[in-house]
Amino acid sequence: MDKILRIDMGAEGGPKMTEEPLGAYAGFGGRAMTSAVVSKEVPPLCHPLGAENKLVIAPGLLSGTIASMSGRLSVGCKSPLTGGIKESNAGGQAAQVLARLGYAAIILEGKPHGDDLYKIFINAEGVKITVDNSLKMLPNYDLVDKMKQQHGEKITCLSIGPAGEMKMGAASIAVTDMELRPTRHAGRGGVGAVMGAKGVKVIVLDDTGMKMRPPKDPEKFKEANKNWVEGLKKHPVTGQGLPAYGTNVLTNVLNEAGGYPTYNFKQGRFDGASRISGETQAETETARGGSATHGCHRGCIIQCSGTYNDKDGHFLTKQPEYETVWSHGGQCGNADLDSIAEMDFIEDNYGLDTIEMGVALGVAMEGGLLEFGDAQGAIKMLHEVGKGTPLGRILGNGAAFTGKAFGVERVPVVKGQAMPAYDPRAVQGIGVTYATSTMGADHTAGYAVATNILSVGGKVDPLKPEGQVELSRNLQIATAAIDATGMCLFIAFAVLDQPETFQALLDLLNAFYGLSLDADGVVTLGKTILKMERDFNIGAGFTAEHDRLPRFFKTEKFPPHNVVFEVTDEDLDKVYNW
Amino acid sequence: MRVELRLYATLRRFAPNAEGGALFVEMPEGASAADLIAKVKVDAGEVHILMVNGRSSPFVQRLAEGDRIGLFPAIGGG
Repeated sequence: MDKILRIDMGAEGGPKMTEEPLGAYAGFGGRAMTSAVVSKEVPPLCHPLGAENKLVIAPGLLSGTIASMSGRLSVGCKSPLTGGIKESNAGGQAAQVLARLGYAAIILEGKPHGDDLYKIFINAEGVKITVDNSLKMLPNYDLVDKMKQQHGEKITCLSIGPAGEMKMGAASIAVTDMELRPTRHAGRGGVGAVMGAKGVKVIVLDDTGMKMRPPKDPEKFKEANKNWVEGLKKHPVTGQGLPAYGTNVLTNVLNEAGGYPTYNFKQGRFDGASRISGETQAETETARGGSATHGCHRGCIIQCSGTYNDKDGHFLTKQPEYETVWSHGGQCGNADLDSIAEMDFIEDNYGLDTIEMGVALGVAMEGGLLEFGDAQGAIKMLHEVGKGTPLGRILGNGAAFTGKAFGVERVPVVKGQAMPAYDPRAVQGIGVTYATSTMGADHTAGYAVATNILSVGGKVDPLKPEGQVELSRNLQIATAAIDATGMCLFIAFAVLDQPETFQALLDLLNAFYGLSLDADGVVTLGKTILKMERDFNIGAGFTAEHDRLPRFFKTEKFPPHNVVFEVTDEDLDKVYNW
Repeated sequence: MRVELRLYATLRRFAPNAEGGALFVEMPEGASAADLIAKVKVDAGEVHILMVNGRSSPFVQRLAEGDRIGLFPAIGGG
C-alpha cells in the first residue's frame, strides 16, 4: 500500500493514468486519506459534478492485513447532495483487495470530453482502462454478471448503477461481497453521481498472486490480533447480539424507547414494528433457507449480515440493514418485510442509498404522492427512479429535493442529507451529531445512540440535553480515527467498554507500522481529520446556521414522550471547541 | 395490578409461548421491576437494558398499573 493511482479522465486523447508514491499522504488511510486529498486538492467552491472535483477511493490503514474486521473502504469527494466534503464508508471485499494490490488510494479526476463509459481493470500486472459503452444503464447485478463472464469469479467490483450514470444525489457506489454480489454500498452523499460524472462505470479488481500485507513486527501483530479477536468475541454486542440478529435488532429497542421515527417523523412508535424487527427477520431468513449470520467481507468475525430469501427460497437480497428496514418500514408506515427486502434489492441494483431513498419516499407520501403503507406503490416509484423519468429523477435526488417538489414542510435532513433511523427529539445525542457532523445527518459520524439508548460506553439520558454535546464530540473524534484504520465501526461497541480491546487495536497499528501510538495519538488523529473536513466545509460556504436541525424538531412535540429537541444553538456551536 | 412485559432478542427464550415476546403479568401492589423479572424467571444477569414506559429505569423501579416494561440483552447495530 505504498502508491497512489491517479487517473485523469479528462486528459487529451483519453484517460491518462499515473502511479505516484504517497508523498505528503504517507501515514494516511481510509477517511484520513480521502479527506486529506479532497481538502488539499479540491477547490471547496467547485461544482461536485465538474472537472475540479475528485473521487478518492481508499482502503484503511489495516486493510489487506490479517487483522480481523479491517475491510472497510472509504470513498471521498465533494458531495453533490450536501455540497460539503463527503466520506462514504462501505464493507465488501474491495478494501482488502485494493490494499493487497498495493494502492493506498485511487483518485479519479478531471471530466471526460465525450459521453463514453469506461471500465478500469486492475490486477498484479497493472491497470487497463477501456471504453465499454455496452455497459450503459446496466443495473449493478447485471453488470457484475457481465464482469464475471469477462474476468472470472476471482474479482471484486466497484460500480455504479443507472442512478450514478444519471448523476442523482442519492446514487451509491456498489462494492461486491464474498459471494460477488453488489450488496455493500458507499451509499451516502451521492458519491455514485461523482463516479458517473467521471464516466467510470466499474472498477474491477483482481488480487490473484498478491499476498497479505506484511507487518513490521509479525509476532507482535499476531499476538495483538489474537487479543483483538478475543475482545470482540467476548463482548455481548459484537460476540452475540450482532451475529444473531444483525443490525435490525435495533427496531424493537428504538421502538420501545419511543425514538423510532414513524410516518415521516411524526411519532416514535410504530404498530407494525414487531413484524419487521430483527427477531422476525432472522426467523424468516432461517425458515426460508437463508442465513441470519454472515460476514460482508473475508476476515469479519462479527458476521452481522445474512441472506434474505423470498417465499420460494430463492435469493432476494442480502439481509437488509436496520436503517433500510426502518426507512422503507416505519418511515413509510410499511410493516411488510418482504416488500422491504425487495426494495433493498432494487436500490442495490439501481445503485441508490437506502436511507436517502426511504426517507424521500416517506416525504413524498406526506406530500400526497402515495398513501403511507403503500409498499407496491413505493416499488413502482423506485422503478421510475431506475428509468430516470422526471418523477424518478425528483425522488432519486433525495429527501430535500423531493420535499421541495411536493411542498412538504417536515423534511428530516441536515445539510441536504436525510436523517437515519433515530429521532433526534427522543435520542438527543444523535441529534447533536446530525446537526454538527461534517457529513450532514449521519448516525455513524458519532453514534450517541450507543450511550443514549444501548447503555454501551456509559449512560446519558436520551431525553435531556445535558451531556449530549460532549458525548457527540468525543464520539465524532473517535469515529473519524476508526474510519482511518479500515476497521468496521461496530468494533466500537467492544472498544468503548473494554480498555484491553482498545489497547489491542493500538497494538495492531503499532506492530504493523512500527509506531508508538497511544490513546492521545488516536484523539489527535480524529481531530486532525475533522478539522480538515470542517475547514473544507467552511470554504464551501457552510456557517453555524448549517449546523442546525430543521425547525420542526424544536417546535413539534414527538410522542410518546412528547419531547422537542432541546440542545441550544449555543451548545451546538461548542462541538468543535476543543 | 397488571403490567405489560415485552421480552426481546435472546430473552424471548424465557417466554417461548408469548406472541412477539409480549405478555401481561399480575403483580402485587408495590412490586418492582426486579420482582417482575424474578416472577417470570428471566435471568437478571442477562438484562442489559430495562425500560419502563420507554424510559431507561433501574431494577428497583416501582411499577404501576398498566406499565409497559421492555427487557433487552446487550445489543447494538446501526
